[in-house]
Amino acid sequence: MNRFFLSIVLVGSSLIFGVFVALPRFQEFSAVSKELSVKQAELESEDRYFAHLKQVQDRINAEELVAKIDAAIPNDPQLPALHDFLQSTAAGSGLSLRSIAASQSASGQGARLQRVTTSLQLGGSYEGLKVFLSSLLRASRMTNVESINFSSPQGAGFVFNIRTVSYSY
Amino acid sequence: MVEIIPKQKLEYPLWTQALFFGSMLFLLVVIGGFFLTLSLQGRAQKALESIQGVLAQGKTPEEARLEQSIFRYRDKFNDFASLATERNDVRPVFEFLEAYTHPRVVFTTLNLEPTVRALKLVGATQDFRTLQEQMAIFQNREELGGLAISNIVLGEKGQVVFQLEIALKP
Repeated sequence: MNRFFLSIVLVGSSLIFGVFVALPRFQEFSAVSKELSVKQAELESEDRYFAHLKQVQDRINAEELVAKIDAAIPNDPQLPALHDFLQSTAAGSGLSLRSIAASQSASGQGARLQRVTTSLQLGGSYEGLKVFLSSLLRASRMTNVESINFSSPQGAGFVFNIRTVSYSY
Repeated sequence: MVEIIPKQKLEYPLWTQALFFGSMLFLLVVIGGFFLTLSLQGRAQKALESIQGVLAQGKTPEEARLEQSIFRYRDKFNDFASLATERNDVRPVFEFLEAYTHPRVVFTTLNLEPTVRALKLVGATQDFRTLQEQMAIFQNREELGGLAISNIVLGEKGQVVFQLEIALKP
């Protein structure tokens, strides 16, 4: 066969093979390759995210302030410890604990923060009450005063009805 | 028949030869490219399946724990900041009463609700004039957001008994 015509046949065959066989296959490869890049980026992003979380966790573990926050809002209500804290704070202020009752409730719907409301009845002096309030403010466990109620002493001393709220997680 | 005079060998022009070899090369490139694409696609497909498998597994228990712990601390820090901001010190209320209570007025009952900044007092004094002076003292104080007097009655020993409702400023 004449080489000229053979060349034309070869070029024609190449074009037909290229357009109808090789090109679709290349387009498929291109799509797979693109999807692979996207998934790789997704995986890398996930890895970076967890590496960042690990760094944050390490910083949290090393931070002294976090320990203080954990003491202020412990991870469980620790009711006996709370009772003991209030009793010893009262005693340290010169007040006697006459009664104590605590109840727990969530601070809001879906909230992790739990409120522990404590009703206290304390006996003692007005000065003792002020010391007690100062001690509550300085204490490591966050305790807020919700209400204070008292009347003039009829007998030996004042009787203070105090409602406090502490928190847990 | 024996050819005595040999035929001259047919010579292709150079451009025809270049076209022929060029077209051969083109065909080889196309076929080679096709198989290269097949091979690369196979590898890419395997890698994709492997990554999809890893992604489909989701978080490991350790990662889930880590994430939960971080989110817990994030919420805790936010709650702590908010509680610390809202934290009230009730001692200034007592300091205020000690400083600005009229010498001839006695408060017999105190009911303080710091969260709503409300203070209710029941007091007694000797006469209405003293009570008016006490009101004047309180009314001039910037610490108070509101002052209301009610239930003014005469007590058993001729004392003036009254009730005060005070709104405290933040």
